[in-house]
Amino acid sequence: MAADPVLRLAGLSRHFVSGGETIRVLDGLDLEVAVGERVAVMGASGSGKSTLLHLAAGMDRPDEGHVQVAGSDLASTPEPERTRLRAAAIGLVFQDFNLIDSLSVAENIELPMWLNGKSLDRRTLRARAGELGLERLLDRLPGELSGGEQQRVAIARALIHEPRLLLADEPTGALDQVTAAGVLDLFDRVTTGRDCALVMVTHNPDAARICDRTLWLKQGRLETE
Amino acid sequence: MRLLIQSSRRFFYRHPGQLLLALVGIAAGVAVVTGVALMRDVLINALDLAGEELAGRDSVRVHHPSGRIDESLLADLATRPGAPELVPVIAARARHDGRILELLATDPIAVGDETGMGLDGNQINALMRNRTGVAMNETTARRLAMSEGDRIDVRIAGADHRLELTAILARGRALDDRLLMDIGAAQEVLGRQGELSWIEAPAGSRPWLEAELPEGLRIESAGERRDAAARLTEGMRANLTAMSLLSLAVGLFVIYSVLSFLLVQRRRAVGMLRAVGVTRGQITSLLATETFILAGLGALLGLALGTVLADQLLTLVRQPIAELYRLVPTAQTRPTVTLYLVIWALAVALALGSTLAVWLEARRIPPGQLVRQDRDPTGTRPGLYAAAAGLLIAGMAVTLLSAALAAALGGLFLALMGCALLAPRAGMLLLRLMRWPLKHKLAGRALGMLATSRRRIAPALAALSLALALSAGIGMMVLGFRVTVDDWIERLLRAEAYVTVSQGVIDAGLTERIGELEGIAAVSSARQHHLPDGRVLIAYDLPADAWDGFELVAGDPDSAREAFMTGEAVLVTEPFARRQDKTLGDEIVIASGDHRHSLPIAAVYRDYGSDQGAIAVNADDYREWFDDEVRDSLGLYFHETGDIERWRQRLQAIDERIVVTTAEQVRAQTLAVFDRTFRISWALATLVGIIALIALVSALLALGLERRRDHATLRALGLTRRGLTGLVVSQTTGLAAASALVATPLAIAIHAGLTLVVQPRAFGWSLPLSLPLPPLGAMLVLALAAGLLAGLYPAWQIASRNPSNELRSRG
Repeated sequence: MAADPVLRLAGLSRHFVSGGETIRVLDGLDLEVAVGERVAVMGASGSGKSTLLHLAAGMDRPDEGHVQVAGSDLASTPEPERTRLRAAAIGLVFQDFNLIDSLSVAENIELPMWLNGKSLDRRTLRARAGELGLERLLDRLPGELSGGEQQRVAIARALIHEPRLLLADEPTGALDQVTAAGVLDLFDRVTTGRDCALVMVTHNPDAARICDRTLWLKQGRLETE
Repeated sequence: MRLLIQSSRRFFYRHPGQLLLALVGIAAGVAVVTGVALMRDVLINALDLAGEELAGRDSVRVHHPSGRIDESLLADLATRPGAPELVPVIAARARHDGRILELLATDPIAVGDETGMGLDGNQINALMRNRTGVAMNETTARRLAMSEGDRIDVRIAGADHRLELTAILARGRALDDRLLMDIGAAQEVLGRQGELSWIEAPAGSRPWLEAELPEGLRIESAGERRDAAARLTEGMRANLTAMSLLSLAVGLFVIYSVLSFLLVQRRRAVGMLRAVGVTRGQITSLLATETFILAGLGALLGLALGTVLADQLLTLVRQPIAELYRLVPTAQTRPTVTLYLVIWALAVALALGSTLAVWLEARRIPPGQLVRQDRDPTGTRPGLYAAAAGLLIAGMAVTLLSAALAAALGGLFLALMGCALLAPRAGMLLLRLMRWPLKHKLAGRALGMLATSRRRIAPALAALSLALALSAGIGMMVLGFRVTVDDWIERLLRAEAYVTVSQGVIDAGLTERIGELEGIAAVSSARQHHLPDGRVLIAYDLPADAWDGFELVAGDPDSAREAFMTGEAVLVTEPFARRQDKTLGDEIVIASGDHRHSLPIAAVYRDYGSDQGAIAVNADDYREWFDDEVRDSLGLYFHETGDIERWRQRLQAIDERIVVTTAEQVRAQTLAVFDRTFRISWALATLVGIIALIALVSALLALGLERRRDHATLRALGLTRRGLTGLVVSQTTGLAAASALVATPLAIAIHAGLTLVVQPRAFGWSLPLSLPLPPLGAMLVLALAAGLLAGLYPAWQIASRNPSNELRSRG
C-alpha cells in the first residue's frame, strides 16, 4: 500500500478582490506530493504560485477545498495549531531569503529548533552549517552576506528541524545565474535521501532538473505540461 | 517639488497613526511649555489686576511701610488743588474653608459701573447698606458653591467673621478669589476704623503725588509691584520653567523618533527618487517642509491644549502662592498673541533642529537603493560621545560654579542633555546584559533583536530615561525635602501648645495672665514686623527649651545664645543670609523711628518658613525700639503635660478669644502647606512621564512597523501569535526596564542637583542630601507597567497581521 502523501491539496480555491473585481487565483486545484518527492511548480507571474505555497504552509486559508499536511487538515485547524504544525513539519525558503536582520547566522539557523522548544548544541550546529559551507559565517549578521550566502543560510534554517515538507518560493529568483545553479545543486544534495518532500515554486526552467516532476499552474489549476 | 510634496501628502494619508503620534508628541511638549508660561505670567502680572481695575492700567499705589495709612490723609489730599481721583483701599487676607481669599474693601461708588468690576446701582446699594455684605465674581462664587444671600465665614488676622454675599458680579475677572466690600463696613468689621491699607491713584498722577505726599509715604508703580511679585516668586517660577523646558525636550525626542521612523519607511522611495534625478537638496527641502508642517500643526494644537492646561496648573499653584507669598493670583490666564507666537516659533525651530540628523541620514541614501541597508551602525561614535561628555562637563561646571539660579538651571539642563545623549549607549549595554541569562528564552531572543536596533530605539531610550529620571529625581528631592521640613518643624516646636486669639491681639496683659497660670513652666512668644525696606523682623521671647528649637548652620550655640539673650546680637535665617549676602559678624542695621540700631549677626539658623528670610531679635529690645507690646502667638511650656482640652478650657476661661493649637496640629498644617506647594511639581512630572510614554509607544510602533517583515517571517516559520505578542511585549518591557536602570543614577544626580544646587539658589535654604528610595522603586514599577502597557497595542497590531499578506506584498 502506498504511503500517505505528505501534502495533499484537494479542490483548492482562493480568490481576491482588487479594485472591485474578483480575481479567482486558484480554482479547484488538486495536488498530492509523496514522501521524498520533489515537485516544481511553474507558471506566469500572478498565476497564483505564491498563493498556492502560502495555503500549503497554512499561512492563508482557502475559500474552498482541503489542505492536508502530514495527515492534518490545515483548512479546519485553528490558527495556533496551524502555526505549531508549520513550525514542526514545514520548512520554508523565500525568494528574498527573509533572514532576521537582527539575528546572527547561527541564531537564524537555530530559530526553528527554538520555535519547536528544542535546543541545538554549538557543535551540531557547526556540523550542520558545515554541510552547506556556512561554518565560517555563523557569527555574521545577514546584512554582511552575499545573496547566495543568504540563501544558503535560509536553506539551512529550513532544514535544521528536519521537516516533512520543504516549501520553496522562487528560491533562485533574486540570484544571478551562476549562484542560482549552485543553490539548485544544494537543494538537490540536501533533499536527496531524506524523508522530506519538496515543493518549489519557480520561474527557473533549470529547477525542473532536480525535481521528480514539473507542474504548470494555469487558470487556477495544475497541469503537467 | 510639487510632486514630491504630493507624494509626501499621500504617504501621511496612508499612515494616519504615525501622523497622529508626531502631532501628539510635539503638541504635548508645547502644551506644557504654554501652560507654564501662561501661569508664570499670572504669578507676576495678574496679581496686579485688581489694582488696575480699581484705578486703571498702570495705576500707582500710595502706601506706608507699616502697611497702614491714616484715613485723614485721603481727605487732606483730595481737597488740595489738582488732586487726582484717589481710591482708598483696605486689604486683608481671609481664610475660608481652608482656602485663602483676599478681602478688598473700597468705595463702591468709586469703582462702579465705569470700571472693570461692573457693579450696578443695586449692587452698590446692597454693599453699602449691608455692613457685612461682600461681592464676588461669578468664578469665585462657582468655586465656593455660593449664591446671593449665602453666609461666608472667614478668619481674618486671627479673628472669625461672618459675612454675607450680597452681589455676584458678571464681570470683574480681577476679583478672582477676592471679596469686595464697602470700605466703611470693612473698617468696622476688622476694627480698623480711620485706617487704610493703601490709596490707588491714576498712572499720570505720580508728579502731583510726589509733590504733595508727606514724608514716610511711598509711591509704587504697577511695574515696581510686578517686579516685587517677580522677585518673591522667582524660585518657584524658575523651577516651573525648567520643568516645562524639559517637557519640551522630551516632546522633541518624540518628533525626532517619528520622523526618523518615517524616513526608514520611505528609504526605498527616497532611493528611487534620487535615482530618477531628485537632488539631495530637494530631499532635504522635502523633509524640512514636512517637519515644518508637522511641528507647526502640532505646536498649534499644543498652544490650544496649553491654554486649557494653564488654568488647571494655576488651580494647583494659587493656594501655595497665597500661603507662601501672601499673594492672591487671579484664577484665569491672559494669553497674548506675542506669547503664542514666541512659543510656536521656538517649538518649530527646535523641531527643525532636532530632526537635522534625519535629514543628514536622508541625504546619505544612494540613488537607486532597492535593498534594505538600514542595519544599525554597531561601532562607537566618538564624536557623539565627545559632545555628550562636553555637555556633561560644561553643564556641571556651570551648575557648580555659578551662584545665579538661571545659570544653575541652564547648567543642569546642559548636563541632562549630555546624559540623554549617553543614555542610549548605556541602555544598549544593559539590554545586552539583561539578555545574557535569558538568551535561550523568548525574552532573551526579543532583547537580542532589540539590541541590534540601536538607531531606532535610541530616541526612545533617551526620552524615557530622561523623563523617568526627572520624575524620580523630583520625587526624591520633594520627599527628602519633606523629611527635612518634618524634622525641622519637630525640632522647632518645643512648646506643648500654641496660643493665638480669634479677634484682636495678644497684648502684654493677656501674656502676663497666661504666664501666671499654675502649671505653666514658661511662655515663649513671637511677633513679626515688616521693616520699610521689606525685611522681616521676628521678635522672640525665648525660654531655654525654645532655644533648642533653633538649628544653627553657622555660629557657636552658646555664645550666640548669650549675645541674643542680652540683646547684643541678632540671629538671621539661612535664606536671609544668602539673599542679603550676610555672614557671621556682619552688622544688621534696624531703624525704628529716629533711631538706628546696629547689631552683629551671632548665628545663622535653619529655616524653611520663608524663602525671603527674617532677622530674629530679642523681644525685649524689639518692644523698646518699636513700642509694640503685641505678640502674634505664644508657646506654652507646662510643668507636666496634661490633657490639652482641659488646658484649652482653662485658657479660654481667662479670655474666650484664645485659640489653642497643639504642636502636632501645627506640624500637620505645615506639612499640608508643603504638600500643596509641591503638587504642581508632581503634576508636571506626571505630564513629562505621559510624554515619555508617547515617545515609547511611538518608538515601539516604529520598530514594529520597521520589523514587520521579520515578524511575518517568524510567524511563517511557526511563531504563534501569542509568541509574537510575548516577543514584542518582552521588547517593550525590556526597553522600559533598561531605561529605568539608566534613569536610576540620573535620578540621583537630578535629586542631588536640585537639593544641593537649585534649592539653595532658588529659595536660599540648604538641604541635607538624603536618599529616599520610594521614588526609585515607584519609577521602576511604573516603567515596567508602562513598558508592558505600551507594548500591548503594538504587539496586538503586529500579531494580528496576516504573515501571508505581509510576505506577498513585499515579495
